Amino acid sequence: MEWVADLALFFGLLVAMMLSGMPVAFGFITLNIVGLYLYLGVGSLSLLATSSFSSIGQFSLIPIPLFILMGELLLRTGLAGKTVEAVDQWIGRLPGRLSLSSVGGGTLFGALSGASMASVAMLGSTLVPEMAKRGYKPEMSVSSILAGGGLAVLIPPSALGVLLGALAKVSIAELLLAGILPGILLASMYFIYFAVRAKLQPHLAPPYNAPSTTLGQKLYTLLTVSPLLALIVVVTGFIFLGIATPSESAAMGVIATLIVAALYGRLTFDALKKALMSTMTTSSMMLLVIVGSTGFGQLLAASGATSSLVAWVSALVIAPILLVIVMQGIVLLLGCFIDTISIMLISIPVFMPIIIQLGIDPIWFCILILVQLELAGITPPFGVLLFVMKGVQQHLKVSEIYRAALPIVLIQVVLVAILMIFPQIVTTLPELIRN
Amino acid sequence: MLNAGIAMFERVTLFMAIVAAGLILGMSCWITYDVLTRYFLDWASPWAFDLSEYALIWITFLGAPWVLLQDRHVRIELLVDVLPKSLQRALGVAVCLIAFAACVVLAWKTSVAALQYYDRGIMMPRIWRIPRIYPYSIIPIGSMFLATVFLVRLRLYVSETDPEAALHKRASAGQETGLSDKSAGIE
Repeated sequence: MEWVADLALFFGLLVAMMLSGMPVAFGFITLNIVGLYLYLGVGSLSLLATSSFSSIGQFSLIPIPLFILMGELLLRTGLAGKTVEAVDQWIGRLPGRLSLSSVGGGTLFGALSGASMASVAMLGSTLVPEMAKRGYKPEMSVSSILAGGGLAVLIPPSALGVLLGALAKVSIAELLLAGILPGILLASMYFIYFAVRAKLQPHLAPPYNAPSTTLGQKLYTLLTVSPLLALIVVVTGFIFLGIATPSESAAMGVIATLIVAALYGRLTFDALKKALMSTMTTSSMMLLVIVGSTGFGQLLAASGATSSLVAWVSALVIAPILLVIVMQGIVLLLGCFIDTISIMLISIPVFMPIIIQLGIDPIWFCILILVQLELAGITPPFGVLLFVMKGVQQHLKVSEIYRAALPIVLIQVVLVAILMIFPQIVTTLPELIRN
Repeated sequence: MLNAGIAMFERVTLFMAIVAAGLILGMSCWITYDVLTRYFLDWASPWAFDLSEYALIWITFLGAPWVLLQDRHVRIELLVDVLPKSLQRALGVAVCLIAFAACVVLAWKTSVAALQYYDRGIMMPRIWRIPRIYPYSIIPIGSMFLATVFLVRLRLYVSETDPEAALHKRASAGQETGLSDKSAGIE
């Protein structure tokens, strides 16, 4: 059982470095150097030279910066706000309409950008004050924004999905498409939850006389946001129809976003500069993390720890589905303490070989992990979206935000259960393009 | 003298970051050009694919030093935040020294590889044949810059009264100027 000691050493060192506050990417790079030196000798350090080049010089990783840039451009040019306005008009006078708007806006903005932090920040700073003015309690306001924001991870284009696909070595196009139906299902579950809760507990979301809009006005609004809807078609439709790869769709999505922003008269040099610098910051950080984590995966494999672990798990007499549940539990547990990207980097290199060995559909598994990661972002006490929320709405107490997050956490757990019972929800679309 | 040197270094990293940001926009343009000409003019540009892969490497290592200077690389502050100031400082110094050493090893090994590629005139085994040193050279250069940034951070840990607060300030200053924005990051 030497591999157990190896695994314990690797993960012990990794956890120690992460907890020390060392930037995650450098923690991995340091660990790779130490591991290579210990297990394969000083000569093996030259592997660093080849792996740092091959790990990120991959066409499949291109959507990471480009999806982020799309979202940034929509946010900085103010076009993201337009989607919320449009959804708001179409929802009309349903109970808890502002909560529903925020879920709808989150779904649409998620479909446009794939950035849940951006989504929560945008919706949190625009809709929460409006909801507070209308007497909405945090149970309805904050909750709906966390729900809407988190949808961005699942609904393509999702930069996090691309990163997960790259780490798990599955088809990025299939993974992105696989997220669509679960994303729509989750949005529908949120809609039902907020509408029913607002009906049963009207004091949480007092009904008010929203300005009524005629069908003509609604159609006009739809027309004004139709170029934004066209962006979704450009990006997702092209991948689905096989016209372009995710990388090519992402590039065309960026150019289309620039054109749309210019048509709306919102494309300023300042917005472009801010969007580009912010994209560069996030992309450079994520790509460097990939440099480190790829090396970590190779190190685990080279030391024999991965193959021994896979062999050990395969010999266990337990149902594969139980293992899937345990793995999800681990992701969720990690999510209570560390950020989404770090969780992926730690868990995926260990999980994926086991999943493949057990004959489990890797795309289905990755979608479950994406939902868990989304869940990790809103799970108290350290879910990152909770802090983004606190950041944009300083007056809210952390305990209020925690309370607001709980129902959303439960709904996502229900979604996971549904996806496990009915895997077709995930696998149908990828199978369609495969055939 | 030292301060002027650091200020100059920071300006160079900012310039590198701006080039990286420009590359992201450029990449969108040439990939779109490739797709459109391929579909409408039946005219393939194999260089676009290769150039995009190389651009990713350049974006990563051109941008990483500036991002690190702004303390925008993801890190877990869970334990650090609850430690007393003296321990925070000691831990920060140790982390900077370890990460500096790791970046030096990375810079050393990648420089050796780069020199070999240059000496032997190794080409990329692609349709678009260019010397391997072109896409590769930014890795040792970026690694050296990263090592230097850890020295700048080390100085901050040694000289500031509350180094963690100073780092937070840097990160949020980047947010306010809009040069970088955590809230618009990806999740």
